[in-house]
Amino acid sequence: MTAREPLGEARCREILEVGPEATQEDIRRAYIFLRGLYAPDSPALAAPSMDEFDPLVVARILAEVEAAYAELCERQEAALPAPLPVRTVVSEPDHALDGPSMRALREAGGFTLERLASETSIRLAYLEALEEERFRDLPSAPVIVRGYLTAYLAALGVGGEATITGYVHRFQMWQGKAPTS
Amino acid sequence: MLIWAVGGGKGGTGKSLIANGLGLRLAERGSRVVLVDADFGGANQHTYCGLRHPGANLGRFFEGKASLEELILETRIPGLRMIPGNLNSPNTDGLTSAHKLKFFRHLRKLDADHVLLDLGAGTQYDTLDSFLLADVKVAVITPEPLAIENFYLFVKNLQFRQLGAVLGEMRLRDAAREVWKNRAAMGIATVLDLARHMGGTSAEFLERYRRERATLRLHLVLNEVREFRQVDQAMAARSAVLKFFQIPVDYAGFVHHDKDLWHQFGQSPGPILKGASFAMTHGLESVLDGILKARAERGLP
Ligand SMILES: Nc1ncnc2c1ncn2[C@@H]1O[C@H](COP(=O)(O)OP(=O)(O)O)[C@@H](O)[C@H]1O
Ligand SMILES: [Mg+2]
Repeated sequence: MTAREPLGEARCREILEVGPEATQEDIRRAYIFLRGLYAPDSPALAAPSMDEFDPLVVARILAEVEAAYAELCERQEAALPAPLPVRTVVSEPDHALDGPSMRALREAGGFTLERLASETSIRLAYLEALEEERFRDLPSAPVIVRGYLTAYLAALGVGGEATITGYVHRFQMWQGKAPTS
Repeated sequence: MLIWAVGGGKGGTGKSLIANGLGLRLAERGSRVVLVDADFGGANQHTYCGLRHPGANLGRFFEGKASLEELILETRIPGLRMIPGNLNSPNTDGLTSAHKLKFFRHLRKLDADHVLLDLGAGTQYDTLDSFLLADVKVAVITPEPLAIENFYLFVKNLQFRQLGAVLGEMRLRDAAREVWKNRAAMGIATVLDLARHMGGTSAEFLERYRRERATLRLHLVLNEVREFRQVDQAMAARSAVLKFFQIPVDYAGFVHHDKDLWHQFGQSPGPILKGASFAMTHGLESVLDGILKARAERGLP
């Protein structure tokens, strides 16, 4: 590979569409998201048959995203996990429900934890444990955890049965039990 | 005073609902708001406002028979007033640009803090021009491929219309038309390519167009969310508009699908959204906050 001009920190963040306050985790998520979005056969860009969405342009954007992430990794002295190998990401959207994404969704909706606690009648400590995935601090019955997750998403005004199951399974795995449902 | 436009391309995505919801929230926060039904072909903002038989409408203004003030109706919410749309007149395709400029000049003179235009679907010039002239540009999509595709088309047409206006102003329209005819040979495929090419021939144009482009910035609202992961679709649309059209988009937030909303129509004499669910009310609050925050970050009122 030929050495390329560095893009610079600010430009890298611009390409990855993250602000100066973004954490390493934010950057990694943004990278995975954009990488899926601008993948060669991305379903999100399939419909528009307009010249702007030229496959060559898409390929250039993808290359830019890769370069920006690689450069940020280097800049942060490999503090970020290295770019993922191509095949594992392309068709793997980052959709599983987990603590950080629940929190991001809550914050996107402008909810405080306190507000959510009063909306759902779930104790604040449990909501915190759900978002931080501190499984030991949750009630031990998976059915209750599932109920909490359902109430949590419902209060935010979104459904998500399918995504809840994954969370509950992980909780059960942690408990050392075989998933039942 | 701020003029807002709520548009976005596809019909039925909730433009009228979002316009109504934002107007209601602003009024409840103490602003003086006028909702203007600028969906000339499919006016229904009066229904969202709980008004059954609006009398005179915008058609009278365009005929030169009434001032905008005379058309304003009260709603049951203090601070929230509205101007009904063109209910009976044939469509207004024929509005001249003089008409439109007069319309905006008069809108600016209304005694209000916020004027919200509820725009129609599609990419008619009237709709595009109203959107481009507004201070706060709100685009509504739903998590649905067709809505998002139409949104891209809307964005592309906005860009084209804006470029056309500047070219016209600088008397470069004929020159640009020639270039566009031979675009294949010149490696020009998109609106931006054309703008770049014209910029290479006239520094004056480049400067003028750059200033105009800086005003094209969207607030994106995702409506009818039913599932957690659908929020990603707004993020994808936001990114695509930024990367393919180089138009900045601020994601304002989402409003969930409220399966009982239809029930509100005709229930009470006030605005429909007065009786909306907690989740819908909350979604609209957060969308309004999202828009105001994005503006504040750029030092705008
Ligand atoms: N979030 C929502 N939940 C439930 N129904 C909605 C929602 N948003 C819009 N609708 C309904 O969808 C239909 C189209 O909405 P409308 O605001 O008229 O769209 P537009 O103005 O974009 O054509 C209306 O019947 C409206 O009540
Ligand atoms: Mg409408």
